[in-house]
Amino acid sequence: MKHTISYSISPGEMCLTLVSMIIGVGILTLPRVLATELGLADGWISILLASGIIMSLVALYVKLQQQFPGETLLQYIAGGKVGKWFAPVLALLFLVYFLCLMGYEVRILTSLMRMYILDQTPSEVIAALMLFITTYAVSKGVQGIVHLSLMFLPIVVFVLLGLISFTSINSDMTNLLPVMPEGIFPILLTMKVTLFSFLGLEILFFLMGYMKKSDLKVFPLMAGIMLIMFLYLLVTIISYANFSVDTTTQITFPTVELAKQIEIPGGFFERLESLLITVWIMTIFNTISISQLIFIQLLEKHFVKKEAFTTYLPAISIFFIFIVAFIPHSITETFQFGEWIGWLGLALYLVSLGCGYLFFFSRRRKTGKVGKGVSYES
Amino acid sequence: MYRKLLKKKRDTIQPLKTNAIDSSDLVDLTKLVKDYIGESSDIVQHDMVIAGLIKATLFYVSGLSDRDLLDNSVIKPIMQISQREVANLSHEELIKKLSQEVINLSSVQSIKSLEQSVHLLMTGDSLLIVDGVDKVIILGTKGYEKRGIEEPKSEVVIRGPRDGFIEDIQTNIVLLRRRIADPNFIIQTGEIGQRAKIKYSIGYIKGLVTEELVNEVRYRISCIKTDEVLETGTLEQLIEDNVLSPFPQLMHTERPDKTTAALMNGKVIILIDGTPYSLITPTTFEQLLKSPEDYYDRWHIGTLIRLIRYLAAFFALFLPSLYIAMVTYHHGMIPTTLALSIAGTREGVPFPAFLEAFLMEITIELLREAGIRLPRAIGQTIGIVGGLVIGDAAVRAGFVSPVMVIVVAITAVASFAIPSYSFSIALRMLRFSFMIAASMFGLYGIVISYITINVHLVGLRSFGSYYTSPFAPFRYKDWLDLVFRAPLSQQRTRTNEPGTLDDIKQN
Repeated sequence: MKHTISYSISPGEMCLTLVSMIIGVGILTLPRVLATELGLADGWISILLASGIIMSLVALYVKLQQQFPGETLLQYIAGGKVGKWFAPVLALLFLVYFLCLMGYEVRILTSLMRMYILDQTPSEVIAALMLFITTYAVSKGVQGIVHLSLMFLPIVVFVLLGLISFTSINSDMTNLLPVMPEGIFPILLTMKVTLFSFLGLEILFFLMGYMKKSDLKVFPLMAGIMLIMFLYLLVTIISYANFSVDTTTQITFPTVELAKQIEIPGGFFERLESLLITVWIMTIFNTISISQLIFIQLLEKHFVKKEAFTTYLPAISIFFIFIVAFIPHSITETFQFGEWIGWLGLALYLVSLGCGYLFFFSRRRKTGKVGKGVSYES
Repeated sequence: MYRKLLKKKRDTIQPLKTNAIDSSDLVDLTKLVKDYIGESSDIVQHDMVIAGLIKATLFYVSGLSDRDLLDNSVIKPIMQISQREVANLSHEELIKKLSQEVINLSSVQSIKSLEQSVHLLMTGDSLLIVDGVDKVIILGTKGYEKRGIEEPKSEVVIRGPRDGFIEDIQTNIVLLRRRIADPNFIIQTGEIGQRAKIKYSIGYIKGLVTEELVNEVRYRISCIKTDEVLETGTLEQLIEDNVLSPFPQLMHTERPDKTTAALMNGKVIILIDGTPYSLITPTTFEQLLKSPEDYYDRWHIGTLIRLIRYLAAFFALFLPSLYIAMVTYHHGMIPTTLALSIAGTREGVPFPAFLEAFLMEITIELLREAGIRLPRAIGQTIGIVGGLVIGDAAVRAGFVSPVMVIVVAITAVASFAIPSYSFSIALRMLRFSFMIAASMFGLYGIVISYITINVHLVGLRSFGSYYTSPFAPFRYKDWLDLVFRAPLSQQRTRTNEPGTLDDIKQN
């Protein structure tokens, strides 16, 4: 029937999917990473600047995507003579990136679980369970994955905001002062950390191909980035205000520790960090399932053309993710691994965006200015 | 392949040599009909002579046809007709005279198909065979015993109409027609079941419902090839989208007002003769938590009740598993004093929390099942005896802790607060898997199960509609009628699932 024949992602859905992809484990560690890098309380300025940059990057891509509605970026690149050879290279890089990202998320999830919820269960079991359900989710296709983001994101944001509103009672805002004691330069240096925490943007290259031309708008995505920025700012500022910058550097997951501080009047529940983590499993699930879907689609489109093999791809992907997840030996190594993934992701985003524009301009020159699909409407 | 092997020749259906009636001789025709019907003794053959000239035979099924009607409107006028009136009439004129002037019935028709006429005989009509006429006159004399309209037992409301559907499809259609005087309200009737040939009706409102939906419903029903479909539940299983899903994909109701509301939202309803339920399709998750009463009370009350219902659904699904997870794995989440008192009550209980919860849950399911089967008065007693006596005795004997009894009792009560019975069963089933997950992986297990159910739900369709709408294809307008039930003056559009041709409900 009509829904099952063609599904297109609506702008609002795209926005929320983007948000649930980006808010992965980053938000749990962001205050600490920022505090360690900077040593000052100015991390929030860095977040503001980074989200500005991210917004412009997103806007740039949406403008590009408007030129080839209904196609993913890689499909567009693969459409030309040079691009035909270039697209698989990009696809391979993206495969590596998403594989590492999923491994990283799974690993952080197991550490979180071991630390706060299940201290006896082996990490491997926790990881395997998560990967099984993400694989099940992937079987529901793009529509299923997008709708799952819609189902979970409101719960996650609601719980996070609720918890933060309880903590803010015993916070000390003077911890945030002074503002910019060493000028803007050190803040700019920490931008890489904040930019990394916005990674996940790459899904736009793949998912925006499922949108209608009239839906390719910049504003909803901007709103999504704003929401993320707001959450990041809130978490960072409140953890600084609660723990002071120096203490924050010592805490592995400051956001989770924030929840630990809460005392609900009446004392009906204690240790609400379990609640936060429980809910956070859903975002981690979202991030992994979106990545896995794109991972499998990339494989299907560029490398594994045989129908007989494609049915096994989800199962095979579990195997590789599982291995990647347990490559780092310790939590410190995992964070180091995370930073590499950040560099890779950022580089990939810029390279693909650049390539996209390059191919677009070169093709437009060939076909003349009034080539097909060249119309700026938003 | 297997089907071919298993297929056996059936010889009980009597093969008909000719379907059309080709003889005009009374004896031949009567024999034909009698051969076809077989030797049932409830089929009455009544021979008579019209005006002392023409022989005729009347067939009817005793009990299915209205005897008074037959006596007064058919037999009496035919007997009293004078010789002068029928003399010198051709066959065509005789039939015309009989059906237009003599017989006092609103439905008289003459047909040539034997199979059709016997089928009509089986549904309560009478057959009149007249010597010399090669047609059968069908007399609409349906009249059989039926239950009066009563208050629906399974869906009780405090404020709202008290009438419910009954087993007779005609009455049910009337109940709907009385509420919708719109000529666009279409009822289309057909038959399902190759042997039983049970009447069913599809109802929808033209101009609201999309053509695709009606076609899909028609297509799925016409695909059914089975002996009989006795209940909407049987039909539901034959036409639903996903057979493996624990969630009901069609809603059934005994209430005409609920059915009318569904029609007004651009849905298709299915009625079956012989059951007091109507099927509503498509159905989404949130509709299973709605009751017609939400709209009859003012919006504050409606909103509060909805909130309580969602809470009930949450408890019915999660409460035992949360208890197991907290007691087994996450002692820290419970405040210290409470944790101490729970530990105190669990002292001496020989079972782990999971087994304790499982035993109690099974006990309560047993009690519930027993309570349904027993006569109403005894059923209530069993409920009290089971709930109070067994619970108390179990605690005193040290089998279970009192907290566990509280948890199980709240869960049971919560599952009764859900308006849709089939949805409540789905939650009951899933509760056990949640309990197993919680006993193995604590909170993590619960979340994983929750995510799994969500993955299943986003993939589920009911006749092409997203099951999780308006949560998952996010429809902000439908949120006015979700947990929060906005004042009716604010609900200006119809719900988004299914799509309708005319979205505006009020201006």
